[in-house]
Amino acid sequence: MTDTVLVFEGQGATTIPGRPPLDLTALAPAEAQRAIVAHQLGRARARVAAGAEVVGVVGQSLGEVTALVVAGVLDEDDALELVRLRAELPAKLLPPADWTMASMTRLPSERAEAAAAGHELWVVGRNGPADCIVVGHRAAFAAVVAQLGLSPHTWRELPVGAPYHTPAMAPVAEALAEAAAGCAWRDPVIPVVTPTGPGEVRTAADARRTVVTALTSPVAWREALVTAARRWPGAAWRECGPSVSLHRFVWKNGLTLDWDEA
Amino acid sequence: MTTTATADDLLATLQEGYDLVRSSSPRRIAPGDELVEDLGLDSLDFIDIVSVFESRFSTEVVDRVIDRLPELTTVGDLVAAFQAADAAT
Repeated sequence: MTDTVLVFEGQGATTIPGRPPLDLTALAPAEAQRAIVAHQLGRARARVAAGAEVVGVVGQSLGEVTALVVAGVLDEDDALELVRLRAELPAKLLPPADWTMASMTRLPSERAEAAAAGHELWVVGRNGPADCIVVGHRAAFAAVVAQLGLSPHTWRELPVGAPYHTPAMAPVAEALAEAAAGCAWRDPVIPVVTPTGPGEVRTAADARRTVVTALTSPVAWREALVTAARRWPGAAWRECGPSVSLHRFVWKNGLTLDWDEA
Repeated sequence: MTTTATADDLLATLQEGYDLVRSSSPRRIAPGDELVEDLGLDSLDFIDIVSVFESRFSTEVVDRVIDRLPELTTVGDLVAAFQAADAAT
């Protein structure tokens, strides 16, 4: 048995591997997000079936929901329903707007925050010393990119059409909290490190609060990863797809971990 | 920080970058390797690898290479792009 930390990325994936691959960009957001979670759960279960002893789980954004299922906090059906709502409620509850989310490289979050001040743009993810995620109105994003003189090759737009992790999601968080009240929540049986806060999910109440709070709070992935790396330094870290995009933040944050795809 | 790096030096630095970015699939890279087809790099991987050169070149040189990324196909192209950018600054 190998001590293993399972890691789950957010909703930036565009395909699920296979023959043929599933094109997530062709699906409605709710279906795409549910497909990502289902895929991640399948890979996690396969890893366990292969003999992994899961000592911890860490999820980024949408991946936090997957992590909670693996930790025994949520049933899969409840999790997928919360994911559906998380994806569908923004269109129902928020005023129409042209939102965009982008993964930025060569841009420290502090510099991005300074440039975003005064614009409808937020830095919602700290991934590494010079890697961050921004969300905002498309026009505001274009203005800030121009202001900073960023090369178009140093950032990638993500297939996300709502202002996740910003104060603009407050109405969605409120509605999701009501739905979450109807789910069965249990204390984790596997430790969960969360980038919301960041911190550790220790109880069922923590978990429920985290899922709701995450909608309006930034994702401190860098801090969560460093915390988790200190806690499980000798473990095998296995990223459970579908695009396995998080490996780069290991070395970018000066960490040395046994990290691979699940 | 202008250098007179040889192609071999630059290839060695690229290897360092590749080893970081693709630590789970180690391989010895060669000038003829195609960045996408052979090495499986995506656009952000390119940026990560190129950024490794910031310890050797000025930001201006690195930015010049980044601007040319869409036209670079092979490892050899990337090495040549660094040499050209270095010579031009």
